[in-house]
Amino acid sequence: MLEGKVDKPLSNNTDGNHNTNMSLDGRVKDMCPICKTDKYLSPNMNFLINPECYHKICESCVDRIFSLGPAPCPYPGCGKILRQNKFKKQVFEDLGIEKEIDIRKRVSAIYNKTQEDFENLQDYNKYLENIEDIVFNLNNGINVEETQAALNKYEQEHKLEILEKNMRESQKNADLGKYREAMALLKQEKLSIQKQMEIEDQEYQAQQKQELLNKLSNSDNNNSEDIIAQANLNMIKRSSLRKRQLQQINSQLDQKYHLDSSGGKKKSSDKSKTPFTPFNGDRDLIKAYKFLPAVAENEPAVSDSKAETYYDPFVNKLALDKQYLGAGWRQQYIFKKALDEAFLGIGCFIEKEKS
Amino acid sequence: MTSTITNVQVANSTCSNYSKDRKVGEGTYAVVYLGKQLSTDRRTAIKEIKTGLFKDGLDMSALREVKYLQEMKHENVIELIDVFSASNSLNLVLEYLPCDLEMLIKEQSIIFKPSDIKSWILMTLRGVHHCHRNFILHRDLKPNNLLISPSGQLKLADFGLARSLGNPGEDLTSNVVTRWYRAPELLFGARHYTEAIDIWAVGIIFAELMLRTPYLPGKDDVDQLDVTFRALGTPTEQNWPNVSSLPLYNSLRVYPPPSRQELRNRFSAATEKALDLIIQMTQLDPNMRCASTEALLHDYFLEMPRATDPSELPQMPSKKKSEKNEPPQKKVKV
Amino acid sequence: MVEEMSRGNENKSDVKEDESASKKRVITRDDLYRRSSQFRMWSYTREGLDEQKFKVNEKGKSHALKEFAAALEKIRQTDETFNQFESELSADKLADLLTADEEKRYLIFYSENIIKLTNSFRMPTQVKATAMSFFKKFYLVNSVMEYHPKNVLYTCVFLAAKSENYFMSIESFCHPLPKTEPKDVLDLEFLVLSSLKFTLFVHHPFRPLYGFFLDFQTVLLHPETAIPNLKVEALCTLYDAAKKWLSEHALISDVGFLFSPPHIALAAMYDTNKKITEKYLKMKYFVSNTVEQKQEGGQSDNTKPPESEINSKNYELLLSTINECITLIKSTPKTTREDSTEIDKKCFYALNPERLIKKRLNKLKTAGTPA
Repeated sequence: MLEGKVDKPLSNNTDGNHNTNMSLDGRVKDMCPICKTDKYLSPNMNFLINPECYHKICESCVDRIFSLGPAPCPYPGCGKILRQNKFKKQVFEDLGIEKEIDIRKRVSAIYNKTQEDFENLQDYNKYLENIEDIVFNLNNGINVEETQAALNKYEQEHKLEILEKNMRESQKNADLGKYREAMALLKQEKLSIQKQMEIEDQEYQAQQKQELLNKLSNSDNNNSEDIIAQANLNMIKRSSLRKRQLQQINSQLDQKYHLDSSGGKKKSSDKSKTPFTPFNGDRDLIKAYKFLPAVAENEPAVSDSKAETYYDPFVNKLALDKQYLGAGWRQQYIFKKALDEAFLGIGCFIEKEKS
Repeated sequence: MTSTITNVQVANSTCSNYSKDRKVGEGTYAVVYLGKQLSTDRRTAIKEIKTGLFKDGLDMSALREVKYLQEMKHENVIELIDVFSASNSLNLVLEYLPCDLEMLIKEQSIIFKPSDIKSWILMTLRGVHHCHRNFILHRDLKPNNLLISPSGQLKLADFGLARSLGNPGEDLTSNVVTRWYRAPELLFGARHYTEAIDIWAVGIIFAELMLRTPYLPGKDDVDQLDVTFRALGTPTEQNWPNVSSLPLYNSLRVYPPPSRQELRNRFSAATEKALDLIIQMTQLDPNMRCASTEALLHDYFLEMPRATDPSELPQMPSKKKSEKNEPPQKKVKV
Repeated sequence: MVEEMSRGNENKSDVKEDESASKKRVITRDDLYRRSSQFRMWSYTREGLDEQKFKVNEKGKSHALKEFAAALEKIRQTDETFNQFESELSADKLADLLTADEEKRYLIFYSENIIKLTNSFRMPTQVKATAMSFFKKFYLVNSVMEYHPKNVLYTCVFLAAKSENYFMSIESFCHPLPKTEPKDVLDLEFLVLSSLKFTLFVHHPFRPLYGFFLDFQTVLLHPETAIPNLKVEALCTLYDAAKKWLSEHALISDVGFLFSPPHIALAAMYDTNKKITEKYLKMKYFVSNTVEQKQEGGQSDNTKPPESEINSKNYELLLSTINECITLIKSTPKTTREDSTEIDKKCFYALNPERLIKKRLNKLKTAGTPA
């Protein structure tokens, strides 16, 4: 049924019938005008275009017609000589844009300067305007021959400059590319090491559990708590050891991959000459007092004067209140604050300083 | 007997030393003017607070601002240049700071480089460190209250909710800090919190700088708990001892804590060390959260790229610079 | 880098630093104190303080005289009998103004009232001390002949409660006060604030005292007891007694303007128990070159260069400062009720010259003797 409809309008598209023209356009999009293969029937069909005349031809036709050498374009009325290697896939829906882009590519391959090549903004803008004029002319068929000739002439005269510029640009891009690659590799390596360590840790944990069970079953009741405590201690030591190992490995990796702002601007290297101080010089480093260490959290404060930490029954009692502890309150902070405040101004002898 | 309010010769500076050129904002109890200090031609913002508006005398927020700004002299804290009284209004002369971090975050045309974020967080931490070593909690840190000077310096502002750490055993109100930046212990109604609440807020601001959108935007107080724990895991006695003793604790939906990889995915632009620091500042248990000193000594500030110099930080495009130093909304009283 | 804030209303000069110290500048906790408004604007030498009080008294006198002259003029115009007795009604015959010393004693009396008032409200020590500080500062700027202390006192207490987070509504505050309306208290609030030069943060010696209580434990009990048989309970007793000493004596005196809070705290400890305090100070600060000193231990030995600002040179200074502080506190006079009633009368008439003149006028009229 569809085929019947397809056949009729195509044979004569000049009848001026609006409807048939519309449906014709719709059909033309999905059908190669040369071999008349319908996209509907062969969905894998691809269209190619040639920058000479921008006429759309299906891949198989291009192959058939142009593989033996340059040949004229099969579109009625065109006849331009086309080469097979110039055919490419259409990128933009609008052929006009496709055409313009191609022109721009050509022109900017020749006019390839960037802003940094110009002393001031005005000169750069003049340069850009020149490029626009050329592209406009070529695109709209104004003075095509002259413009093209001027273009060629410019290319000849500035061949060296153009090449130099190309090299510099590609260098920059290469650096950035390299940097990104390096970062990605670094991340990968770190991840794999972390995974490995996790596996090792799990194995170790399982092993330790087993050992612990063995020890407990072998020993008598009195020692069991000690054994468990010992085992816990070992675990803590081991985990901190592992953390340190991981840190070491990470910093080694960072160095290896030169974790600095490569491909960066010169400015940053100048600034790095001044050393970085987090407090900007404004930090008190003198210890006016010795601070007694804290009692372990699960032991209550002892009222014996031989206890290691400060004695203050009121504060020591608050330290047992879970509401206080849950909010982050610690008696050590209270003590430290009080001590800090005690020495705030002890060296200020007002009579001396205000006279 | 009467006590006449005569022209008391207490302050040498009077309103004649300052000009009020243009009104730039009005709040419930204050009007803000842009002006100049006549002796130095320095641009200033003058906050004029009407007295006699409240039945209990001068408003507490105004009192707190005056009280603490007089003592906090630091590069990263807004400068209270002078205070004077004029015809029954209290006038605070503050330095002129045209924009704040919230405006920068919302301004689509500005790109944040990692070094910029580092610089802002560095300055914020320095300001917070100065407050904390004077044992003062700011209690309202958020991008809106971090003002930027024309030279790029970031300054803590709005001390209307600030407070000295009181005596041991004193109850503090848990209804402080703007909801999205409120630490979990506050959400649980804790009355004996520490400076860690300010560090939490800085951590959330750090996240927001990287994401360019608020990190934990809750719709109301209950939702805030949910949003926070969905992102960072619900606290349990295991990872936060004694949390269940807090007044408003209830074991809501229990979300698992995020894995390191999940956080990496969320903060895709962060380096490992930046991620480290954020994690340390947003620890659920306030006791595990780093202090301002530790944060400033973190490796993040030493790794490349270095923090941008303040003068090179992005600024608001000049057309959009609206006048800052607007009076705050009415604060919750203690 | 410490920046000195200079304001129009700052008194006295900026801090002069040691030449040698400024070369290798290290920020210490003392510098933090030097940045406080208390140090910058409310710290005086003995001389400076007396000078200021004298100035204020003079100001009060001239204000009172002006008021007197104005009242005189008013009565002259309203009362016909005035001209008869004019010569008896001149300022020098009639106006009896307070001297600086009388003002001082008057204020001490009212200061005691602050303690009573804050105790009756059960306000914490911090509020009590801040209210006292506000009150004293107000009268370093104004004279009692310009503003009567009674209402100023109430306003200072109310403001201090607000400032120290012990908020009371004005109604609950005025309720127990005799014949006092909210208006009376609130009207003065603004004036008090500006007299305070808008500085509300006060550093009291109570917290430093607590800090020293803790440090005494470190130095005198750990690692071993420095004084034979010294137990921690003795230190607790010392702390409690010193705290009481501060509340009862130091608050009323002027030491808050002359000494930094740690010095006052140490003075309290010293006066309460000289032996323990002296031992502590010696162990902490007295550095000599003998080996014997090194063996004593308990030094702040985790100070590598730069060293603590307190060294042996300043140890003597510290000791003498503490002693000065104690002397000053002990010499603060107590004002009796009779004394204060006398002065009260004077003050009332200084503030209300009209009443004074009218009273004398009536007396003269009834006595009936013409000029």
